[in-house]
Amino acid sequence: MTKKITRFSLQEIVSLMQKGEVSPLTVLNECLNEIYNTKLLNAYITVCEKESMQEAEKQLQEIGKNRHLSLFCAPIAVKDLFCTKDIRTTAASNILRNFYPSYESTVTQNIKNHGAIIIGKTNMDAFGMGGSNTHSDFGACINPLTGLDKQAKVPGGSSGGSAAAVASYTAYGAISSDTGGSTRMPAAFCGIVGVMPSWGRISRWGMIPYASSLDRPGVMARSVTDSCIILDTMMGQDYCDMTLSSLTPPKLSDIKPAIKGKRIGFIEHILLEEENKHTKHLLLKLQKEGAILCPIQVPDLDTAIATYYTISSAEAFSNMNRYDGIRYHTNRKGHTTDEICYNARNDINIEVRRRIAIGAYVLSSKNHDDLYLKARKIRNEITSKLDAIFQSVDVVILPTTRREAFNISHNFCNPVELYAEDKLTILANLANLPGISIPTGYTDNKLPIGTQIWSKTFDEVSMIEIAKAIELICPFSLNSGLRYDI
Amino acid sequence: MTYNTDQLQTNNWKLKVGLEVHVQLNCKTKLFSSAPAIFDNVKPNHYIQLMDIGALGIMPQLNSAAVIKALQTCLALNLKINQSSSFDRKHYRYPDSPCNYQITQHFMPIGVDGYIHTWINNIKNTVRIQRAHLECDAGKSIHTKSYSQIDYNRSGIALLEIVTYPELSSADEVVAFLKTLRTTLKAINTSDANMELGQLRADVNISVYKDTLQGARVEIKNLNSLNSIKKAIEYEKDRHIAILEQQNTVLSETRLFNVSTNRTSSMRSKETAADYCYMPEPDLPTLNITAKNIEEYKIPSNQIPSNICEYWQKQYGIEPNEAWIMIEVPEVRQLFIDTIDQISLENRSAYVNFLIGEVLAYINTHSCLPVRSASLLELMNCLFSQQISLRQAKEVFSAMCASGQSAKEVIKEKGMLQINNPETVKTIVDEVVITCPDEVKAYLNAQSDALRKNLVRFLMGQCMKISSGQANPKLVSQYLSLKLKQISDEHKSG
Repeated sequence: MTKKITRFSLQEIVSLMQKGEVSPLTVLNECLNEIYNTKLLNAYITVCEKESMQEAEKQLQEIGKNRHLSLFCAPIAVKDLFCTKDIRTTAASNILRNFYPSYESTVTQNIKNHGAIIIGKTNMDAFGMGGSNTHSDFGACINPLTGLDKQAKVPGGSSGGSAAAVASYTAYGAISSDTGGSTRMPAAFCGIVGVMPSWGRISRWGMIPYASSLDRPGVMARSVTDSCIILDTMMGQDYCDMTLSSLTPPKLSDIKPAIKGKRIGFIEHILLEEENKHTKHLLLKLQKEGAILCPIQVPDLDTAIATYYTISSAEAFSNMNRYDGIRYHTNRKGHTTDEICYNARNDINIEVRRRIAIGAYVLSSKNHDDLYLKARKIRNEITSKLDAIFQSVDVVILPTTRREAFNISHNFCNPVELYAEDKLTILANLANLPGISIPTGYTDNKLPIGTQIWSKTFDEVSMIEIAKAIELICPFSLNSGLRYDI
Repeated sequence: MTYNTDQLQTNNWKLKVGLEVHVQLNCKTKLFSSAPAIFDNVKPNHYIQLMDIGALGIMPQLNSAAVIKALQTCLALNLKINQSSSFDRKHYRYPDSPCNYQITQHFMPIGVDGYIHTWINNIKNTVRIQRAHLECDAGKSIHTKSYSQIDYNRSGIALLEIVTYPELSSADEVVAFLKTLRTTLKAINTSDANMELGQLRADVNISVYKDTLQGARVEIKNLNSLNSIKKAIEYEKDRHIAILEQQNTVLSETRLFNVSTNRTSSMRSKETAADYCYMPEPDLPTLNITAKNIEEYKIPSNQIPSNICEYWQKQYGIEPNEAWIMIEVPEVRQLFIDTIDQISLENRSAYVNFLIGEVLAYINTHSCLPVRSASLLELMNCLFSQQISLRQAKEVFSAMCASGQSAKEVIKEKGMLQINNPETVKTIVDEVVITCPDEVKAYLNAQSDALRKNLVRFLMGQCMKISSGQANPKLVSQYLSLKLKQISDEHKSG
C-alpha cells in the first residue's frame, strides 16, 4: 500500500475494512500510533487505547453481523463534552477530572450502533465556552498546521481538539458541538469540514449542556462526504429529548451535488474585505457553474454578538449552577455548604466563571427585562428576518472567520475581543439554521481558511447539495498544509 | 414572649392571609422521569433515575399523567386554563436540589384566577385562587450530629402549587379552605392530600392592617398540620398587633413555627430575599392544552365536593356543616347520593343523623363499610315504619356490618320487632305499676317536677326492661302518663 492508512478518507477506509483488504486492528493501531506521535498537539484529554481495542475485537467476533455497518470499525474521536459510559468525561474542566459517567450519550451510542470505535475524548474549551481551546484545564491544544514553537496557532474553539484530531490524521472523523461557531470555526482554522445540523435535529441527551437553546451536536471530517456518513448515524428519534423535531431526517449520504440554478445569498460588505477574497473567488466559480448570486442584507452582527452572549451566558449560569463542590466534589473543604461551594467553584475555569457572572447579572430581577428578555426578543426578530431571507435564496454563503488562526500566546486585552471572533458564525445559531464550513483556501501565511454555507432550518439537504458541489469544483488539499514536526 | 390580647386593641385590626399550598399529585411516576413516585418508608435513594439526581446531560421528559391531574385540579378549582403554558428554572443552591434549580412554571402557569366555595358555621365563604402551576419536589435532607445525608427519592415528584389571593381574614377561614381543598383533591383523585405524609403542605403569608396602616408581610413555614396552622396564625396576628400598637414596624421575613411552644421564630439562615434568576426551561417545549383536552379530562361538576354541598343544600335542605361531614368521607358521600331520593321528606333529618352518627362512626373505626346502599335502605325502612326503634336500629346496623346479613335477617334472628300493639304496651305498663308500688307512691307524693320526671324515667326504664327494649317508647310513654294520671285521679278522689 503506497498511501499511509491514516491518510485514507472515512469512506475509503470503511470500504477497505468491509472488503477485508485491511484489518480493523491495523487501522486502529495506526491511528493510536499517530495519536502518540502527535501528542504534543494535546488534541486528546483521554486516549481510549484499551477500550477501543476491546471494541474492535468485539466487532470482529461478529463480523458477519457488523460488516455492513456504515462506520464499521472506524476510529472516531469524540469531544469530551459527550458522556461516554465508563470512559472519563471531563468537559476539559478540573471539576470533572475524575468523572466516569454510568451512561452513554445518545449521539455516541448511535455512532457505536453503526460500528464506530471511540478512539479518544478530545480537548476543548472548558464546558464549551471559548473560541480558541486555550481555556482548557488540560492545557491548550495546538493547530496541527502550525509549528509547535512560539508561532503555534490555536486550532479554534471550542471543539479545537476534535478539529486537531481529524486534521492530524489520528481519527477519520470527530464528534463536536456548535453553540456559537464551535464546530465551524475550528474546522476553518484546521482546514477540514465542520457540520452543524439544525437545533432539534440531533439528540442532546447525555451531552453536557452549555447553552441548551443554542447547543447542537456536530461533526468534523476531512470531506463533506465523510461528514455525511457520520451525520446519518447521529440523527434519529430519541424520546429522551423533548426538543427533538419529529421530522424524519434526510439521508445525507444519498444527496447528489447540485449547483445549477441554486440561489445563493451573499453579504456584500463582508465580501469587499481583503481577507475574504477566498469566498469571493469561490462564489464567482459557482456562478460560472450556474449558480445565481443574490445580494442580501442580514441583521447587524454586533447586535447579534451581544444577543448571543447575553442568552448563552444566562443559560450557562443556569447549567453550571449544579457544580457546588458537593455532588461533583473537588476536595475543597468548608464549614458550611456555602463555604464548600464557594471554594469549589474557584476551581472553575476563569472564562466559564466570567460567563456565569454575566449570566447571573442579566437574569437578576433588576436586569431581567432590560437585558435578558430584550435579548430573547431580538433573537426572535433575527430568526424572522433570516426566515424571510430564505424565501428568496436557497443558501447563504459567507466566510467562516474574519481571519486565519491566531497565536496561542495572543493576548486579548479584553475578553469581548475574543467574543467578536464569532461574528460571522453567530447568526446561524441564533436563528436555528444548519451550517457547514468547508476549507476553501490558504492565507499568505499558509494557514487554511474556510467558507460557510447556511440553509433554512431543517433544510440540511440544500446545504449539503451545494457543499458536495463545491468539493468537486474546488477540491481542497489538507496534505500540503501539514507542518508540525516532532 | 406571649401577648396579652386583652390589653391590645384587637378590635379594629384586620388580618390578611395568603396561602401557598404544595400538593403532591398522586401519579405513579415523577414529573420529569419515569422513576416511581414513592418516598415514604422506603430505602433511601432507591426510586431515582438520572434526571432526579441532576446527572450531566440528562433532559426532562414530561409526565402526561401529571399534566392531566394538574388540569383536572385547575378545572375543579374553577381556574382559567392557559392553553399555552411553559416551564421555567428557579435557581437556588441547596444540597437537596439536584441541579440547584427547580423546574417550575413561573411566567406562564397552567391555571389562573379561580375560586372555591367553603363554609364556616353554615355560612358560605368563597376563597379566590390566584394561580396554580406544576413544579418538582426536592429531595430530603437528614441531619445527624456529625453529618448530613440527602435522600433523592422525593426529588422530582410532581407538585401542583396553588396560590390564593391574600384575602383570607381568619385562621378559621384558612383551615376551612385547606379542609375543602383536601376533600376536593381526594374526590377528584388527583392527590391523596395527607398532611402528615407531606402530600399537602402550606406556607402562610400573613399581615395585619387597620384603616390605612398596613403592616409588613411575614411568611411562616414548617406548618405540618391544620392545628399548627391555626396556632401559628393566631400567634403571629397577636405578635404583629403588639408590635404595631407600639408604633414599631414588623420585619418582613420568613419565620418557622415551633410545634412544642406554639410560637414562631425568625429563621437563622440568610435564605430570605434570594434572587431566583428565573429563566425559561430550554429543554422543554411549550405545553399545549386544547379545548378538546379540557372536555375530555374535566371531572363532571356534580362530582366536585363544593358543588355537591350546594346541591344538597338546595335540593334536600341539608345544612352545609352536616353536608360537608358526609361529603368528606367518600363512602358516606356515595351512600347519600345513592339513597336520598328513596327517603321521604319527613325522615330526611333522621336519616342524615343516622348516617353521621352510626355509619360514619363505623367507617372511622374500621376504614370500610360492608353494608351496601340497598341494605341500608331496608334497615331505614324498618326504622321509619316503626317496626324497630332507633336504639334497635343501631344494634341491627352493627350486626349487619359484623355478619353481612340483611336487616330483616338480623331483626328476625334477634326477635327484635318493636312492640306497637297498644294492648301489649298497656299490659306492660300495668305490670310495671304493680311491681313498683314504692316508686308509684313516691310519684303521687312528689312535690317537685324534677322528682316526678326522675320517677317517670325510672318507670319507663322498667317498661323497656320487661319488654327487652322492644316496646315502642312513644307508646309506652303515652300509656304510662295515662296510667299515672288515672292512679293520681283515683288517689285524689279515693
